[in-house]
Amino acid sequence: MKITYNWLKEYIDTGLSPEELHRKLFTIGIGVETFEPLYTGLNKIVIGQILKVEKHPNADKLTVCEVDTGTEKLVIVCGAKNHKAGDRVAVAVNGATLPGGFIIKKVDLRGVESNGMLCSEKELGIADSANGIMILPPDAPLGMDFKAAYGLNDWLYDLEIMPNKPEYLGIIGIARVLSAALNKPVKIPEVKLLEDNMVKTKDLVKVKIEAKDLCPRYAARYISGVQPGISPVWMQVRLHSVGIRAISNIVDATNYALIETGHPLHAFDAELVSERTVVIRKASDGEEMITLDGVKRKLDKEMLLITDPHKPIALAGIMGGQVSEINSKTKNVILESAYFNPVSIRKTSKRLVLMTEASYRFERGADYDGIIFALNRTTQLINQLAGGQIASGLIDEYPEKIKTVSVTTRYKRVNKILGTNIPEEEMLNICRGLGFLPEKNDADSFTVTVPSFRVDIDREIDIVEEIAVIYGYDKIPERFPRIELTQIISKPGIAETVKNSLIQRGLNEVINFSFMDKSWFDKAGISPNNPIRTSYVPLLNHLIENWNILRSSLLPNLINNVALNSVSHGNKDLKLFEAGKVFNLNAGQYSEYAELGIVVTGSMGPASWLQKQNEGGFFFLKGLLEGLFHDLGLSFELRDATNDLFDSACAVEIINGDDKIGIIGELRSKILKLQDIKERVYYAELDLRLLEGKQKDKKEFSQLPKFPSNRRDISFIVASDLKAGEILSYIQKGGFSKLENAEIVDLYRGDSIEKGKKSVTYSLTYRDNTKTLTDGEVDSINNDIIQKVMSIFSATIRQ
Amino acid sequence: MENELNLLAAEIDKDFETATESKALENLRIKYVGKKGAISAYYEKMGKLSKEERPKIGQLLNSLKNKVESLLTEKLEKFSGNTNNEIIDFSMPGYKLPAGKYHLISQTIRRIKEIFRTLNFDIAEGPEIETEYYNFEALNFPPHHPARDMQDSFHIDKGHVLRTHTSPVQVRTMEKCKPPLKIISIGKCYRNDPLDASHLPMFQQIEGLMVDEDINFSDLKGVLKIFFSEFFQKKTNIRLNPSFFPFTEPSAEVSVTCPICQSGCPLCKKSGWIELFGAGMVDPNVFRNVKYDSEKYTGFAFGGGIERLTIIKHSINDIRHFYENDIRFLNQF
Repeated sequence: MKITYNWLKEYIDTGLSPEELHRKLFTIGIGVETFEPLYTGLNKIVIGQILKVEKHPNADKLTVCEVDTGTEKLVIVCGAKNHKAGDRVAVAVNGATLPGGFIIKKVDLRGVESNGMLCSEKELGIADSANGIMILPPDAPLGMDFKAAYGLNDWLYDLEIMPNKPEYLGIIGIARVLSAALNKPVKIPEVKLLEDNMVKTKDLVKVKIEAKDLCPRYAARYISGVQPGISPVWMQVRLHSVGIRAISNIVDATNYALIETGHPLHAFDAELVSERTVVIRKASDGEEMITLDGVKRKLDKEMLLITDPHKPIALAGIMGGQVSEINSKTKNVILESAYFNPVSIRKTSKRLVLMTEASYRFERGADYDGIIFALNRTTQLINQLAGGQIASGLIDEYPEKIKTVSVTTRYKRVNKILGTNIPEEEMLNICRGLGFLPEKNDADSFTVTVPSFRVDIDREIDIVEEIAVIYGYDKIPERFPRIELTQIISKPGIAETVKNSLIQRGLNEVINFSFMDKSWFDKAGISPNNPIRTSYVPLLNHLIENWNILRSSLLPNLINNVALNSVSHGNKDLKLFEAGKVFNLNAGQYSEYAELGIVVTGSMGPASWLQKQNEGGFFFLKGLLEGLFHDLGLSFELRDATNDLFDSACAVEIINGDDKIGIIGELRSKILKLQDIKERVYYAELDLRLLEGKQKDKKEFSQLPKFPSNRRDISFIVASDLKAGEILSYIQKGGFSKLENAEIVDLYRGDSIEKGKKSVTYSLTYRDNTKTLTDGEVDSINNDIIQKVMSIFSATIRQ
Repeated sequence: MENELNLLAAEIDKDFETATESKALENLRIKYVGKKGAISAYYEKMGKLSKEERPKIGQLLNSLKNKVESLLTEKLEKFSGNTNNEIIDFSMPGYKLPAGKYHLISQTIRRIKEIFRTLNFDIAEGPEIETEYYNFEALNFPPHHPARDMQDSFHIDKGHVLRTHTSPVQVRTMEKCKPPLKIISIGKCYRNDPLDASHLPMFQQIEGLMVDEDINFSDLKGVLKIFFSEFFQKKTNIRLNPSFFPFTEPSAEVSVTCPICQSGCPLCKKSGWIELFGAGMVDPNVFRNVKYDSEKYTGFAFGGGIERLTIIKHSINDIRHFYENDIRFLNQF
């Protein structure tokens, strides 16, 4: 909704400057998206009169005019044809500026010096097109500044009207609330119609409402003998300034009234309405009509139509029909002002994907009593612009009167909710200002009758809000609440611990959109029975083509992150993780739960002259998980697996207790190639649901050892395919006394090792908590371990 | 012998002068004072000397030995820590042990949680696939109200949408808990918008709710003022303008004094104010839906976008940066 400062001023003298009004609108709940001065590019345009028009001596298409600007007589060469001596015109004198930065200068036009320009509406920037120059009415004040004369020194406010406030969709509605807020009177235009008492509307027009539920009230007037044509300048300027194209005087009048009253009206060419009979009925399924925009619409039985006995003539409350459109030959007009059911208009507008100024207002709720004023006011405007005779009386089909709403409000309640001490009399005054007509009940409360233009009010809390708005939110004090402290119940979930642990280990957290493309599964070669493919959640609607399902895995987005950083930006060393929700649909039930995804590629640490780059690969990722599980106070085991995501040589499952809680491995090159990633990328995924609640937040203290430890390193040569961890696990669980710790510290395959074998070095730490162990004691246990490992695992000792 | 020792003294001087690294010093130590070193050798020869010569040579040897040892200490100190025997080039870059980073949005979320935890607010959560009941009806959106146009949602099936705001968590929490209630909820929300410099189909929101017997609009103003001042780490004024949300009444848009400028910058469109939150008193219909007695209890709710808060705090010009996960962006914060 756009309004201008000058236009608003016709209904209320706010006493505010354009800037002050800008701020004031916000405080009464009308957001202003843009606020700007209008026609700033237009300067030094004066109203002049053409004294003489002569042919240009050297050009057939030009004329040489003598123009009186009130202060001087100028010779101006003009290319238009529609002007004659005596016409009043808009003259851009030397030094004038026109929209687009065009500056008027003295020029020689084919041998004649021209001292200015006679302007068209288009050149002045007040219309989108023009036929020749603009001829002003004969009473246009000679010599006056054009902008001043036609109210072009103005400011535009592009307003953001809340959906519950349709009354602000008309300037009078805005003036009304400003009146309450500023305590200044509203000036409603006075409507006096000169009716032709010889003809009665009733005798000429018939209105029949067949769908009373969708059209509770329908009013109409009849104007005969109108003369369609171009609207006067003031009207063109008004409409143009709020972004409405001037079309013809009759249509312009309805548009003007729309902005003024907020009520959409429609004018029909009466000769095109059969039997001048208007029937308001529901469409039948499959019925068709062509609307004003030239589109053939297919209707259904829930849509409301304005028809004549033979055909639809308008889509009620949304758009007129082409068949009965006002045109240049229109003589007689039937003017409609009606109230339609908001839900019905909304449904139809949505179904036809057709939103208009009219539907926008009707679906929010029109003023069912205001339709009569709107009808009369528009009739007056048409009469003023296009002449004609107004048939006497009007038709007002209103089968069942809409009940007015009354609301009772308790004074104390208002102050309790707002935290204020607004006096009772001030509350009543605010209500009066808003047109609510309050009546005192007793010492505690008052009752208001809600006017028909306020569709948003039917409860006490609505009145509380009205009072708060007009009283002013700024005046409500700031207070720090007095409230009982309560126990905090929520606990940070495992995701927080996980994030913290990984960040401490130098990983970057990423956050991705929850969407993915289901065609990725095929492209990436994910088999139909892979869990991430069996139960994804599709979206019914989506604007972005390849975001058609909710992600069932964090992986696709993480690969995108690798591609953006590595392929596009050349950052090859990445350690990224995301802890976020994935979504599933199983047996009709949606589930969403937190997963952890980690991707690593490239070097573990930054490239530096101090340290060679080192690609940790799988073992870097495994180490991160080990660290993470250490922080959680948990452990895991690994197990061979097959998974479409991973290279078959490096695909592993992560086990905790009896649960398979995740996977880890090297991503298949087929998946990476989709994004042109050539580097090796490792991925681990954990289902955090299965770890939730298991983590040990509280760690128990263990005594620090008092006696020194004794360490022995042993290198076993074993078969290549033996898992080094099996020996480790045997040593750890073998019940060897004094053995405190055992770990693998080296793996070696090389020339000195027989083919098909490998050397694995284990480091064993021995300690007695009651004394210092002697070398002999340690050797004895150590030899026992060596002998047993050699015999069980067919190992030999590497010397 | 005295002569020989004098020559040795000169050699020592020369040797130590030319020694430029600690390894050379070690060689000199062996050469002179090692078990088989030159000076040690002379000590062994002492027995063969006459009584007159002995004290003089002894003294000379001791002084030579002291000299070598003090030179060793002195030089060693000079070379210590520099095994390469070079003066350090401090202009070479240091080793940057990489730090992990919380995503910038997580940083904002953590900060907000911290602030509200100090105000004794609890943290509540709810699902992202939400029923239409919790996302709309329970929050007083009538089935055909135009306000649903403001919420162009992603639909999952007939009864489910991706939640368009975190407000459903209010309802879910009130159904479970009795007043007094002080909660915030933070999480992902979705709207079927294009992805451009000012729109995100997925964004994160913070929601706050406080309900008790004497909670009013001025408390809302107070709590918001505390929060924004803490969040921006400077004195921040707030301004509320009337607005509309189906689940609050009276409703307000909350603006704060621009944390960047004093008197007008592009961020606040030269107004000095930045609109950040929506807020209001909980609508009695919402209380009715969760079976709270709206005569006894009143409450306020507020909410706003995490991305917007972050943009304002860090002067970020394009909202798309957040979820691209470009490490050049992530590592800046």
